[in-house]
Amino acid sequence: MKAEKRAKKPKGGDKIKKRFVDDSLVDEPKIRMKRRKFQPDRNLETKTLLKFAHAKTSDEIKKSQPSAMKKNAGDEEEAEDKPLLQPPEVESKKLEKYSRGEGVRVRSYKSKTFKRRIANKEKKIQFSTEEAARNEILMTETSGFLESEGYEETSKIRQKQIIKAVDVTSATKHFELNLEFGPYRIDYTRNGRHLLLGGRQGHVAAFDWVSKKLMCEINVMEDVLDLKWLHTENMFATAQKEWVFIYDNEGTEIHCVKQMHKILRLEYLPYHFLLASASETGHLNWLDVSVGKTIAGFQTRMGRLTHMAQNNYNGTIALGHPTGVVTLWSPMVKEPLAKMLCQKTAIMSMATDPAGKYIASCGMDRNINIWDIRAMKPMQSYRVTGVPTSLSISQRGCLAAGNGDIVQLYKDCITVPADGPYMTFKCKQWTVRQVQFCPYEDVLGIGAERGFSSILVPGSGEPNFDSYEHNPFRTKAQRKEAEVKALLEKVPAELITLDPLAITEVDIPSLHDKLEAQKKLLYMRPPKIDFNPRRKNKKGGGIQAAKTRQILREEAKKDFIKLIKKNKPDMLVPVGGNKVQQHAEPPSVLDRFKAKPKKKNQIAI
Amino acid sequence: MLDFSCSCSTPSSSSNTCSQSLGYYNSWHFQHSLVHFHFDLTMELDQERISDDSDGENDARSHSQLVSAITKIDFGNKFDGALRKDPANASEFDQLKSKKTKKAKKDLTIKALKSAKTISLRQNQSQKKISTVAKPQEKIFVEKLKRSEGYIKVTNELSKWDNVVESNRVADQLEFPAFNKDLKVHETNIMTSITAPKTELEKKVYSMLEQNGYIAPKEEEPQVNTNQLTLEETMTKRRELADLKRKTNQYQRKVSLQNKIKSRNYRRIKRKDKMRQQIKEFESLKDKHPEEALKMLEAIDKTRVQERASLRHKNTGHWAKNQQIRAKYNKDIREVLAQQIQLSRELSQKVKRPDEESTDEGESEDEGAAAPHPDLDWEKEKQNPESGADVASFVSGYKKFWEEKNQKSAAKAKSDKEEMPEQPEAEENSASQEKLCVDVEEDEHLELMEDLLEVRKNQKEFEKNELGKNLRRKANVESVSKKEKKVKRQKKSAAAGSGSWLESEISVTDLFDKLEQKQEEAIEMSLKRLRSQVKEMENKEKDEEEADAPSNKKKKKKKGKNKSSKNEPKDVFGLKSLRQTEREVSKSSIENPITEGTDKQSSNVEKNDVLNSKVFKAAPNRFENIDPTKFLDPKPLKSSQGELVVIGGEDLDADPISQDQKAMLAELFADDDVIDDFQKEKQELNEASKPKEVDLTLPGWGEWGGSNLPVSTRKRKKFILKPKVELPRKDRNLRNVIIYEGKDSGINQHQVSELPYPFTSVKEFEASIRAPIGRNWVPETAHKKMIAPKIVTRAGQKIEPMTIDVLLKEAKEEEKMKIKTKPK
Repeated sequence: MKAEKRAKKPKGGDKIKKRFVDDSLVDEPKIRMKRRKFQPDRNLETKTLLKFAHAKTSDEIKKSQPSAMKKNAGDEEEAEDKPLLQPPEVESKKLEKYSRGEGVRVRSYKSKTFKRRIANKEKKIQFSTEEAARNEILMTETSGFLESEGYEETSKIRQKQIIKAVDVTSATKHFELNLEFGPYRIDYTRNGRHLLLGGRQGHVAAFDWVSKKLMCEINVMEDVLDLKWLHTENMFATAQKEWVFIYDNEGTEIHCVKQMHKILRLEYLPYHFLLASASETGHLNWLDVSVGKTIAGFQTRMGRLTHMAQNNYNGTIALGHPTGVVTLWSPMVKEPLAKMLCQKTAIMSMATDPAGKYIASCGMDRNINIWDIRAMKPMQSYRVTGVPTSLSISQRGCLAAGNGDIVQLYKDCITVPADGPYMTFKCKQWTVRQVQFCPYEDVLGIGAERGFSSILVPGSGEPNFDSYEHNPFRTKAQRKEAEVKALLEKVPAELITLDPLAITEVDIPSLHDKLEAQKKLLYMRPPKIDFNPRRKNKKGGGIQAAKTRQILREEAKKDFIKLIKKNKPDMLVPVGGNKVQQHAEPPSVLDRFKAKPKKKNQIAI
Repeated sequence: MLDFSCSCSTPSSSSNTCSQSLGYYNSWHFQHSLVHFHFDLTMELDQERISDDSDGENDARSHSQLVSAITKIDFGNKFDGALRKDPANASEFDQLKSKKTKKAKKDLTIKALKSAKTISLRQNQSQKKISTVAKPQEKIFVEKLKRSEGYIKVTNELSKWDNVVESNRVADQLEFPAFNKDLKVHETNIMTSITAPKTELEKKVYSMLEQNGYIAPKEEEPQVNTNQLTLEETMTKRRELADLKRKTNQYQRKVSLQNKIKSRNYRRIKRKDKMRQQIKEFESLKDKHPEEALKMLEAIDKTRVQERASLRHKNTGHWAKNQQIRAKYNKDIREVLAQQIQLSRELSQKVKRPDEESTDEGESEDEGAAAPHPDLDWEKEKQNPESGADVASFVSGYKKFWEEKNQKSAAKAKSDKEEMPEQPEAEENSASQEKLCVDVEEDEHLELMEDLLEVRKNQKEFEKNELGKNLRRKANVESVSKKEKKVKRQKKSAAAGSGSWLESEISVTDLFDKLEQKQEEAIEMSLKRLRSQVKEMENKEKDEEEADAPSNKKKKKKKGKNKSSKNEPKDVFGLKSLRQTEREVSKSSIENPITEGTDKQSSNVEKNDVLNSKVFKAAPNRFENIDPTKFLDPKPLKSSQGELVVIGGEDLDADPISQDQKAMLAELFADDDVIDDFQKEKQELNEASKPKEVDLTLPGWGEWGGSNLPVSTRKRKKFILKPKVELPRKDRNLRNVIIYEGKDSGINQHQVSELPYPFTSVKEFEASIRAPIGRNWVPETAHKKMIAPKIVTRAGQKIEPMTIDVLLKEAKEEEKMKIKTKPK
């Protein structure tokens, strides 16, 4: 094989730069898996540093090192002014990346105090952007990659070869499970540590797939159509034949959610604590799992909902329909927030990017179309051989498409057009039912007809994780704390809109609202006043009282009419135009003596 | 009898005067009324003063007499009124007399008599001061005054604290009890400065850190000689310097502002001032230095002439104004005016000296300014016709020079043509031409592409420039010739011997013509050459593109100038792509009548656009060249099936859909045209969301025929209201997208609906809350800083109110800071 490969090398093949000089590696494909060190808590680091700084005041230093201080006695003041360890300058590009946009222009304000306050705040914001840019240095990990020599295609490299090349820990991440109750659907936790398997024929298993430690394995004795982890690895929901059930990590049934009937797909919105479900009958349902209340549930009138994904950018739910349309839903609006005609034919599979920027869909006509969700514009369109029945996009923009028992992976195919697959994998467990990338790992999980396989896809996962958000190494205590904090920071369901930054905007009445208000003004009625004059020991109704009442009513009516005339709707005009009557004065006999208007065409000489 | 006492309110002065005068004058004096006495007082006093010095002995005697007389005086039931008529202060109780007051008054008078001298002095003073005492202010006003004074006092007192209070208000964090500022927190730099690297490893690390700029390299601190100036001196010096700087800055600003004043009036006044100044100077000079004065006169005259010759007085003179008025009625005058305009136009044409024609345009501006000079010369000439000969000689010299130059250039052109037929002649384009040639030799595709683009651009510019230049040149030539003709006429009239004029004129114009022709030829040549080269290059490029490998394409893509084409999925790069994009742009602009239509609409549309952009803030620019109204052409992806055989799914490589299947599918989906359906739906929604007309017609109202008749046009025009504004949909530019426009999701519950106090615009308030502060979004350090409490107190410690010491401290600290931040 070596010889073959060498022979294959074309004459001009050396043009591509060699990354390794080591001869022993020349023949092997260049594979690097993500290296992962245990990252201590960032906060902890800074804290210790601060402590260190606080620990020794100048006095102590003087005591401990008298001679040194004598030398530098004059320098001390200097050092205060100009710290030796200056934070390095941040590149403007990086700053731009973390920039929060233009600040407040305070010039128009008179108050000096206010101006200074705003300036202080702007300084802090600037500091935070700088810090964020500077902290990029803490993201020490680089993503893995797979590179070929010359014209050899990376897609021809098999898992075996990869496993040979990578380290032991990475190698253990490739495994296969042969199971009988398939086809299987899978779900990884958000930190990528735990895996959930659900066979159609009722087999449900949860385990820590890195250490391969089984948490629970049960058979629910019913169809399992979909399953999802909830906010922690302690709970998961399964969509079964009739209803949705919630189990704990030991496989004990905690809840049976009867509001969710005949569910085909489940999604869990972690920040909103919402379990969304799409049913066979076209119902869409959101359940707040923190309080056990259904937030919203309605009929979409779009038929059977077989494709569902969540948009992490704004918390909307995306549904794929047989009309080639992808719809975005919020629990607060009973109509789709947006409808995008992504395909010319029925949608066969759909996936969103973990950052919520892109959506990939595949139609019957073998086209994979990638759309930008935020701009609602198409970005790429590919024609593939075969119709992928399952799609998944990784954190670093790798697209996996499962068709039959073959999974094809495309790298860098979203923002720039790709030419061919990055990798190809043939699943031994027959037809692929679901593919899903494991977050923060270079791993793709494949749920198939006869089991599960986990394969290595170098460069698919994000190498640097934020331990505050998703820490794969988190302890029990950390998990508990995170749970409490997450509950405290629960995002209300009303904030699910297309623009997640709408919360930072001021609620101004739209043009439509203004128009409606003005229309209402046209049909306003004068207020009814019910006036009962005081009766000063007088008997009978009294004509005078009735008169007063009448007068007051008429007055009120006049006032009202005046008010209405004053606030004439300026957004509405008569069809015939707003012609002002020309006859301000009534025509008189003496008009003939007035100067006649000159004709325009005459030329004065 | 008389009464010397006075009212309580005016005790001393009046009583004294009375008593004193008694000593010198007879009693009949006192029989006058008191008022009368009072009026006479001043005169008497003067006399008294005189007598006072002269008879001292008399004085003593009379004094004792007076005293005895007074004691004898019978204070009967006499009217005891106030001397001074002050109705405000006159008390009703004064009308009556009491025994007590009597006695007191007696004592007073005695006392007063004893100290007569001093009293007289005092009286003098008082008399000088006031004849009548001013009426005291009313109580209300007095209190008002007091209050206002008090207010000023208190504000002054309190304003001392202003700075402290403001700084406290602004401060991010206040610590109570007040933070002891003598304590310091040292940063890590202290540690690094103390621990000098000892081991080799440490040294290495330090050197590395130094190299990378994490540690400032240790430098020997330059010894500042601080002994020369004391602190105060340096401070004062600094202050002075700062003051000076401020003043100079101010002056500069003022001057620059003055220079910018565009007011005609101001300028005129200034000019006149200047003139006056000059005349003054001239007059002063006239006596001292007559020669210099003459020079000055000339200079003044010259400026005046220049002024008159400039275009400023084209139509501001008396004559011009009169003509303008008359022109309405008189045809001849109109002609005259037209001529005048023509003339001014000719004059305002930029005159180009022929020897500068080949140089840049930038210089031509100067020439324009110098345009009127030749005219001036002619005028001078008119005055002294003897200079005609000089002119002739000058012209002949000019001619010679031009002939020589012409010959030279011709020879050069010839040689150039012989040597290198492709070498461009036109100097302007030579640079780009050379570049082009070099590129052709190098034969590098990518650079060629870029250069090609550049060259094309250059070519266009060049053409434009040349066209403009030619036009201008022609105009110049014409104007010059006209001027010359004019001169000729003048000459003839002057009948000065200058026969060479005609010849010279012809030769000069000929010269210009020739030059022009030549240059035109050259331009044409170069243009032709350029065109052919461009064509060649295009052909080449096409060939290469066809033969190109994908890797090469990538390279091209990287180098491509057009950024937008970078991310386009299709293989449109370089020149081709440019053209295509252009076409696309034009197409899209044609195909999007909606956007064009909305352009006309009011600002509401713009607002909505802004709204749109807000929703899609993240819309990346790079995809703009993708037409959102169309489906992309799918790019076929290579499949690497190899030995893989698909089980359970479709075979990847086998023809995915067989003929039968195709037919079946076609049958199945025969009637659902997805795109059309979608468009129809969108159209319907669009119609539905259009604002509807409001019908305010009342059936039967104003009609004779009853209510079942159709509404008359008059009523329709008046009573059916239509919305003035159009409400553009968010998805109007996105063909395959429908965006929901109905009610919000209830996010408005969480939004701010009223602007908080100091903010005046929504935009600014939004900017103020744009940045998140949570630890999920910002680094921990920043988060801590942002959520730091405004006030920090320590448990169990008293918080004392601020004392005046704070002010002193602040002042001290400020000074300290000033010293610290002195510039090096």
